[in-house]
Amino acid sequence: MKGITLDVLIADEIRSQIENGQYPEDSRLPSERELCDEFSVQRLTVRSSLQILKYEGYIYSKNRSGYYVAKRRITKNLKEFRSTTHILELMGKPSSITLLQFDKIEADKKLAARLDIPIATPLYKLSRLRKLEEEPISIEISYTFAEYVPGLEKFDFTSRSLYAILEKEYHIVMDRAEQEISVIHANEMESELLKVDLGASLIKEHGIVYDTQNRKLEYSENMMLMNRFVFIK
Amino acid sequence: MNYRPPIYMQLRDSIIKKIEDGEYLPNEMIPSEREMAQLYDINRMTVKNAIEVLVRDGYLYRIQGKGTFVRGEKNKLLLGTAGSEANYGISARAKKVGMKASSKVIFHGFVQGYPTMSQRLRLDVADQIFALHRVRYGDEQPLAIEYTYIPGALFEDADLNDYAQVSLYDYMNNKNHLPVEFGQKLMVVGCPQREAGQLEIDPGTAVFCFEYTGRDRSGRIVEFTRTYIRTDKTNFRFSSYRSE
Repeated sequence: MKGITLDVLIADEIRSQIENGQYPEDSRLPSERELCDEFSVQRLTVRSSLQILKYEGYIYSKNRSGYYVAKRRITKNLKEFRSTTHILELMGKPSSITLLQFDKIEADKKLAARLDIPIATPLYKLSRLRKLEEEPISIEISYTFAEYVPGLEKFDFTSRSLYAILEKEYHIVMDRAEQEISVIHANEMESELLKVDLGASLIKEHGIVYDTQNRKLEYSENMMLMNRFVFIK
Repeated sequence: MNYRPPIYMQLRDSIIKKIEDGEYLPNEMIPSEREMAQLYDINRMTVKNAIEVLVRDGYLYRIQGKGTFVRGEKNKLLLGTAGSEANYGISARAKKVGMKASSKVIFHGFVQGYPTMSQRLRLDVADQIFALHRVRYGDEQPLAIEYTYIPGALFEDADLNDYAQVSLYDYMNNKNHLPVEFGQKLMVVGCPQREAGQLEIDPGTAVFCFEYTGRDRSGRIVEFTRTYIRTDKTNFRFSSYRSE
């Protein structure tokens, strides 16, 4: 077909088979030869299709034994504001949280600019590492106005979500978030925690969360593995 | 692997990192070339090279006689995810931040026998699909490569337009099938080889992969687009609301 080469067409076909759940996670994809038969094309064409899917992270190769289907991405809905814990529970995939840091800090110039507050305003900094099936998937850092949530340090952030605590204990209800998604390169801390190479690309989702009284309550920064998430609307 | 990039690239990357981390804020002056050369004990020309690359790529800007400043997010195209924002998207947004927007059509024409696409557009495999592949530029630099597919039956004369000049949505609107509602999907993926060539980046570089399906007022699917977007040139912004 003019304009659309066969390798692209077949890559798209396999891509949608994977998306439709035809192949389970970590299952072996049919061999190159089998795919040649299935699509009645030459080996080079199939190889090129697989290359496309490998770049895009749909499949991975393992010690020359063929191609395997990558883990399904975690779906985050861009319209709905939900805690990641809740999303993963809904997917039937409970995640575990490791507390990295919980401190009362003073806003530096970056946080002051983001939250529109004077430098040195007291904030609670909470950083957590989220794991799914023992694999780290994201680092979640949150800065909350200390003034609104005195005594936040008493609570256990490994078993409850921050938003659940705010709602239950402080009657503060999150209402909306204004967020941005960009791609950054892992620094030393990030590469160590997320087990990726130094400088590897990560998704950074960051933004401001407002409560039902329209107060800026939190600035959050999540560094996420690029091939584990998909955002939909 | 023990490969170490040249010093000017290491410096460039460390400055980019500082901008990403917010250590250098938008419109803040960064240390002078002389200061950086002293600090890292490197040649001033090396610093100059790194800065020049960053100015060219839009991370920094210079004010004569004053210094070098961080452009911050301003030069990055902010793409929304709402239909009108995202999809009228790239060229309109590029113009808004003062870039010169242009497109190059790499393929246009009617195609047939693309089952996955037929399914997405809810068409029969035998139905014609009009395909339009474009590279989008801002200030002559590639920003995105877009693969768009629309049902041939609704747009029989789609092939007559020059889409480097004419907006596809203007044309679809004329045909009374402008997409007004969008289902969207956004991922970060490694850029495949062919797209990397068009975007002038290395294969495997992280890019946004954005897919959307557009429906017209009557709810009919009139568009499917997959686009690969350079992440060093764009950010996505969105608002989300609490749900029960």
